[in-house]
Amino acid sequence: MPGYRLKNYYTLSTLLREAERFPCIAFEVFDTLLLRQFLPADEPFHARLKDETPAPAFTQAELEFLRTHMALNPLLKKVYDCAARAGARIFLVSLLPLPADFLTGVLRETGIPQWEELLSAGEADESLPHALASRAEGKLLYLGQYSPDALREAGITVFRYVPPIQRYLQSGGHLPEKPRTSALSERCADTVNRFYTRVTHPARDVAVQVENVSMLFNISSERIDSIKEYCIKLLKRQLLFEEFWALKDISFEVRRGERVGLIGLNGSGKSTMLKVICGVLRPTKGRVEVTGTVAPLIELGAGFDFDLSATENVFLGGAILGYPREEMRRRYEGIIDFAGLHGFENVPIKNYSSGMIARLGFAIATCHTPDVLIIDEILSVGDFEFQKKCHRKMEELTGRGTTVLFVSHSAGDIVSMCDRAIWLDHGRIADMGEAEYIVEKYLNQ
Amino acid sequence: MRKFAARWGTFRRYSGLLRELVVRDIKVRYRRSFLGLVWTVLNPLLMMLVMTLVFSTIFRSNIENFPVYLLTGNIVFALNADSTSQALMSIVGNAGLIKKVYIPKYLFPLSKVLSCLVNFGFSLIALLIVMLITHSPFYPSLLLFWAPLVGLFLFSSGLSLILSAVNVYFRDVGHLYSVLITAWTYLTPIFYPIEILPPVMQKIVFWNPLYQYIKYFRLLVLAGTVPEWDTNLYCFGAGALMLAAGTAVFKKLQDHFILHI
Repeated sequence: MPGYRLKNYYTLSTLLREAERFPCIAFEVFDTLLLRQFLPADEPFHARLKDETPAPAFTQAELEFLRTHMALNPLLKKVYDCAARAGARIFLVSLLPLPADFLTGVLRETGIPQWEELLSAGEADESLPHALASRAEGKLLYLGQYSPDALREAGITVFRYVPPIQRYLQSGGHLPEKPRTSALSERCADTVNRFYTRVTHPARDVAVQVENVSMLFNISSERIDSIKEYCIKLLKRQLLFEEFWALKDISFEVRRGERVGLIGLNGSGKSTMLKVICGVLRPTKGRVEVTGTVAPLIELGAGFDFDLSATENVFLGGAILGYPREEMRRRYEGIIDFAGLHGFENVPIKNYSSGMIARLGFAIATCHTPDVLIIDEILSVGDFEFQKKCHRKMEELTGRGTTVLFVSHSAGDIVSMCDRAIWLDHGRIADMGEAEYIVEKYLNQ
Repeated sequence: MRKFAARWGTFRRYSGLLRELVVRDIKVRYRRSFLGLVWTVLNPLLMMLVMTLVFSTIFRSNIENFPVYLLTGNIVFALNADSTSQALMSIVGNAGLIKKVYIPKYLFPLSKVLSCLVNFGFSLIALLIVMLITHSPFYPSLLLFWAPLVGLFLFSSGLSLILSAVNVYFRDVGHLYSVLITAWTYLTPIFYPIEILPPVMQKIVFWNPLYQYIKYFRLLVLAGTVPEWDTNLYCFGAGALMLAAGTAVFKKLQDHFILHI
């Protein structure tokens, strides 16, 4: 079974590529090997995991430790969606005797509501794997403790599950060592990446097409703003410009409904890329084609007039995004609701707090379902409640088929919010592919 | 042709924004004032009053109905002067927006010209009041008052496009233009009759487009006649030429605005 042989980091991608081939898939969560790999060596039960066969039963303290240190990968929901779309069925299996309530708690965190049956470890029926494999419907089930062999015999492909990188990022950005990879799995990883998009978005519906885009900036040693300076420089023959390619030969496609993150160091050209896509900058070379309406969220509240009230700014802001006045009138109530500005509608917004302005800006930009939503690092403003609200709104929009382009320095945000990531380095594409794989590679560069 | 259709489509899509920008301009201008919109009428009236008091003693003999003569010249000149000098800063002033969102950039200078045009509409109320007070006759040619305005609108739009675009590259233009406007005021027969100028100056002033627009307007309001074809040709020709020049300059420069604002 190819799925089982492949090592940790690539298993999700393999699954996605192979989804059509494997109608029944089981994830192994919390197996001994995995735990040992990511637990600190001085943890008391580290040794027990190694020595005891079969796997040891856990004490309450150890369970508590697991609860706080391990979480199911936030990607699980995404994988589930993808596999379900491809028609596969997914099961979760644990090779460790973890109590049912522990697993329920962890599974709840993934945000998948469809956990259908929960069988506590050790109680499962021998014939269940076969029964599952013959089921027609693709529901997500938790199986409890099963041996992978029993599942495989029944025709269910077992995949080893990737541990979440978010937890490690939170613990000081320290990532575990990359596991050993054979030449085979290295090759597979690349193939997987190439096929990833095909599987997640089978219909070739291109929302944003970027073709060989290059962007050249002239950085003169000083900026020349006045005629006097211009003449002096002209006479001194100092009008030579220094050339700087902010983007160099960038090509990629984004399909409709896809959520793509751009990552890269400061000055790698992420924001320039977004501006080119918005149409704010015209590329020196190449072509950008965007199908449908674009709502840029590059800076919340751009274009507000601070002397005007919220009501007046709703219409002004809507007009800037090209929404007709009629439509804004219909959506007005919803916008004020979302921004939580009832009672402040007629106050000039110069008296607002920055959070209120950001909320109003976000509410206006997302009141309509744009075809393409472009977000540049703006969600860092506002309190966590507002951020949660924004995330929910964006989920809702992507659910309706909006394509999202997202720039963030937070690797966690990219992993949790994007399907795919593009890594820019000095104006070139260093790599692109499945978000988690790329973020991983970027952080380990 | 397809390109033109696409442009028109974009313009239609953003016509709502144009409207919002014009409304914003008008709202913001008198926001904190006690009398609000009344100022748009009061302003030209008071201006006329002051200038009439100062100049009527000097030119009274030559000009009949000096208040109306002055006001017609003044509001037409102000339309051009206000719209162009406001448009001058329109691109630089909206830098924040231009850097972040795609908007056809010509909307900014255009919105300034339009809001000044709306302002001009209020000035017409002032003109009507003055005409009623001074018992001046109402000629049927008054109904054609919009004709010189169309020409002037084209002219001001063209000039606004040029000024706003060039100002992005050279901020000196703003200072230079305010001096130029002052000179232009004196070279335009607003409060004096053209006949008092020496013949050489008369020839120069003849080529001042603003003089032609004012003359056109005065002929309609004061003399009750419709100008000959040559004045018409001049007014619309100058407007069309200026607009063509403005569009060409703006189009050439606009792609690089973002690098300089």
